[in-house]
Amino acid sequence: MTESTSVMAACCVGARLAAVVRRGSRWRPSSKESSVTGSRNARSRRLLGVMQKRPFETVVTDHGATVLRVCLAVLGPTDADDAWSETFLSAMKAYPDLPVDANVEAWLVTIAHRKAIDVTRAAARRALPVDQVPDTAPVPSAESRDLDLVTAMGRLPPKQRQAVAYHYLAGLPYDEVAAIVGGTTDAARRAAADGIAALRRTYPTVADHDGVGDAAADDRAARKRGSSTARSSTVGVSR
Amino acid sequence: MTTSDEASDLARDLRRNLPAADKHLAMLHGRLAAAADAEGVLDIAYRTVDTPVGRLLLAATERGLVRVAYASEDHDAVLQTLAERISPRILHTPARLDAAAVELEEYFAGQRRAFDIPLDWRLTGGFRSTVLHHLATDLGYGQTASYGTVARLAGNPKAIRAVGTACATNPLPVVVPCHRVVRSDGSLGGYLGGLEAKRILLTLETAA
Repeated sequence: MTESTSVMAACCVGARLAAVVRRGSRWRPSSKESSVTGSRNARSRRLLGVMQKRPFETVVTDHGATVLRVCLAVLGPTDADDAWSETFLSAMKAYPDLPVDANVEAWLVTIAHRKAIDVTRAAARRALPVDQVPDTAPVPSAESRDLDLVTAMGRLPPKQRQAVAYHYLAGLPYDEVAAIVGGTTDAARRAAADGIAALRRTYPTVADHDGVGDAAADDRAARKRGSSTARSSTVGVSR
Repeated sequence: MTTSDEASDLARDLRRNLPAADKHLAMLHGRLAAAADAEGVLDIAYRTVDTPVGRLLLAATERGLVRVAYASEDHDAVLQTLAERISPRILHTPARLDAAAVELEEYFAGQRRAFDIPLDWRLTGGFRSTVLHHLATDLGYGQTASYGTVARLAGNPKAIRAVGTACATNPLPVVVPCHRVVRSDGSLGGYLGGLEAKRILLTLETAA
């Protein structure tokens, strides 16, 4: 595992979050289509008309990317890989006992949530004394816009971060998010909305510095110009 | 912003980021397979190998090679059957099938006349199993035998059709040489991998 691959994966989750923050749109996973075995199996299952326990390989290919994005969003790039590995190893152990009609992605996110808590606790136990500040800055790169978003995500309170990740990245409905993080469905909805609002407030300021040729930055610039343009057109600029 | 703009934005983000994500996920997948193997929860490992008779699926349990499948059998369907009959804890784990892959490569290069890898016979049973065991031990490289001869070898001279069924349902083709069973008139008979594959295998073995 290299630093750069973590960073690249972090960029991936950043881009996804960027789309969410920009438009408040709910990201729908497309990885269901990506599995060679997955789509074929889905078809043969439909033909047979019965539910079957699929090979665990298809669980990894269908949901691996989503679970990684969730781990990155909740834990950041340093611990995401370990949380992903722990999640799928646990899931594989328990897989034979999972009911065939279970929502596999919700099940995986539930396991990932518990693993993320374990990883966070372990990290807290081995935390450096406060006077030892890491002497390397966060990696600046062409993808820093996306990394900044992951950083901004990391500054959210845990409940908000989890609600945003499980709802917007994993696509789980709020009642399932609530079942995972605890509390009511309304509380989960509020946490996700607060999280998105906080990201909207912080994201443009951390992102504008590398906005050259960037559609998102252009969008934001257009929005900023929007009010003054509207004013000037009502006033009427004489030429 | 319209919905289609949003969709194309998402698609662009995906295109921009997925190559890195795929590589990263492949690394994580490899790490998972190794950890699952080490902890004894990888019940079935599989891989594919490209051969003169097409792409073969190889699957192994902790006991040994349990399944060899031709592309015509539909590898996805074969894996689904393994999930139901043995265990769904299945991962693509090429490393655990390195020995089998090497032996097959040597066989197709004409450099190997018998397979030494351990076999898991659990997908066959009864008379079929008896037939296949006789094929594996008594019908050597480059030889052929009629269905009737194999029926006699297996202790039931009248069970000629059952020998045909045993060959047609052989879970370990190529390695357990059902391709060496031909009709008494010398014609090829049938083959689960298709007649062309049977012809290729027999030609390979008579040429070497």
